[in-house]
Amino acid sequence: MSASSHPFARRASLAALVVGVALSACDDDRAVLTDPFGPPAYGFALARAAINVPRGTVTFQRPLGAGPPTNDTSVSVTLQGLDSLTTGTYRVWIADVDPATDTIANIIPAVGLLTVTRTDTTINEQGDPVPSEVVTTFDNVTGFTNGGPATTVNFRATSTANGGVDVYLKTIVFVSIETDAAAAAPGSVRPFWARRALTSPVVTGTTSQDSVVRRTTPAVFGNFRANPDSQYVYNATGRGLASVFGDIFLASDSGLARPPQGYYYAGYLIHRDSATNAVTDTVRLGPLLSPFPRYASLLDADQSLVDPVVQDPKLPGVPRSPLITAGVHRISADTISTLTGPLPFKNVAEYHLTLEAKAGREDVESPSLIVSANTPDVVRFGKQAP
Amino acid sequence: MRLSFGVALAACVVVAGVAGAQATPRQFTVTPRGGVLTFDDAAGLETGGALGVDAEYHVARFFSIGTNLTYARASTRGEDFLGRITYGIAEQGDTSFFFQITQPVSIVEASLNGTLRFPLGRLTPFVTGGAGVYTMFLDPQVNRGATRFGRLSGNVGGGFAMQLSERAGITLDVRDLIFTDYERARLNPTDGRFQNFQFPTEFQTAPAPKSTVHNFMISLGFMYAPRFGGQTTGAGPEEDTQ
Repeated sequence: MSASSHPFARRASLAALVVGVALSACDDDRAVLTDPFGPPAYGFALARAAINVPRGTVTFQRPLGAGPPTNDTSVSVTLQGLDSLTTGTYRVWIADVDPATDTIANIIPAVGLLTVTRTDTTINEQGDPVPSEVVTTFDNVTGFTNGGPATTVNFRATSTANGGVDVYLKTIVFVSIETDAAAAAPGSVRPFWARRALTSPVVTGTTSQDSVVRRTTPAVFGNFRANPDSQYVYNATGRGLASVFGDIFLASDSGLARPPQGYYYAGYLIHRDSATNAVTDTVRLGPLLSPFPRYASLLDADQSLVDPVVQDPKLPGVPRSPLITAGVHRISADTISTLTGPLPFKNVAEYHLTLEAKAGREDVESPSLIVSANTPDVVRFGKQAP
Repeated sequence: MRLSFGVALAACVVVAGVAGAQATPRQFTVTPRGGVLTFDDAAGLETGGALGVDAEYHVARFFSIGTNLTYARASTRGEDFLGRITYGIAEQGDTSFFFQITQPVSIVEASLNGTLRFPLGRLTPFVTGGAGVYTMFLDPQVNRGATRFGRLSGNVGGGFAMQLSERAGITLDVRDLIFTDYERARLNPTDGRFQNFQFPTEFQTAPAPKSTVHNFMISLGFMYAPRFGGQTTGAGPEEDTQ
């Protein structure tokens, strides 16, 4: 080997190089937390509202006593919280039920008198609400599509209008949503029902002509089955958290009751005027989605196992949980034409999670508000100028 | 990273190939080295500096065995470890701020290596490989106590050595430093209460974790044959016959 002609200089250079590398390797910076980055997230809680959940009553009635009666034998169905339908029709059916065999028989599509009552409310000079009812009747109808937050629908089917059938003695009344308004047999979507067996007779009237015996019971909302053990009764539940993060809105709903067949959950953002508090716009968020990372639409969670993670209870023999354990609404403001500007969620005052009929209008919020929240002021009013 | 590793290794071999050959059998050499360690994307670590020392016994002209010790200092990559601090309660409206959580990490890797050398005069290309263990020492202040973890490691690489004098030379090498059973999640010091659970997609997402990570290290070393009792170890340097 030949030695270097300048060994000292080379070694000194190498030593300097090694020391330099060593110093660069020993960075003692202990930066643990950076400054916050990105916009802050403004969170708020979602609470169960359960406002205008579909509900109603069913009354079986027959005349009592001697003499020609002034009241016919009838069954009367009164419903509220209905979604207006566009691609379907509410139909009322009366039938005999055999719970033991889980069957219904002698099914009759009811014909009756429809009374639609819409209660509009105005504010008088004293600032008090003044209700005013608008009543519309339709005779000899076989179905209806009416609904809305202030609408009550009464369908009264008499024995006379139904070919002399003693409707008082029918043991079951149920309401279905039919795509064919003239369907001869009920479809599988049967969200309301009442069982005569659960009623007790009450006699009213003062004379033998107007005396009647009535049996009244609440209409049950859910999935009708002849066998009570197999039916599903909907009870509005839910809670959650929501956040606005820059141009992202994320609502995480939890513990929602599975929607009845023919229904689904949808979300809305409600714009309100900051001065008058009047609603100025409604932004539809679409059907509820399963959480990150799947984001599958839960539109068909009423009848399908869309996302086992949030629908499957992992119990033998139970195909679907009575709960949707988690769901989200996530939107980016840049995908919504009405959410613009540097504060796209300014004037958004509320988040609504509603129960919608699949046959209902997509462009109109259902009256059935299940979960809601008011947005915090920092979101609704935005940053104030200094 | 593997591509750059291969290119660098090829460059070393090509550069070395233009020189002559030289070998020193039955000799001990010690090579302090320093360089840069670039971690696998899945490792969650920023590129950091590395120091090391290789002690080798040259069994034969073409082969040596020895120990490699590497110490590296790096910082965790903040984008991969997000934290969220929330003020207030959701029922009345809360505000959350997001942070990138970093911490300095010390890494020690020790291995037994075998090296094949191809003496070409003053320049000696070599390839090396070995197995050992690595240990990552996390920041005790950030982690509220001494925390470390480690598993088996391996390394493979190559480079060249250039003889400067009878007992000294410089080396330049690149290595794939392989960490097995790697647990990136252990580098996240954030308590579960402060994890960013609500906006998982709104930030740059970390690469998918891997159990085996390949890290690229390039080192410049100073090879030295110590003299014990006034004598250079081994048979002593051979005269250059060229």
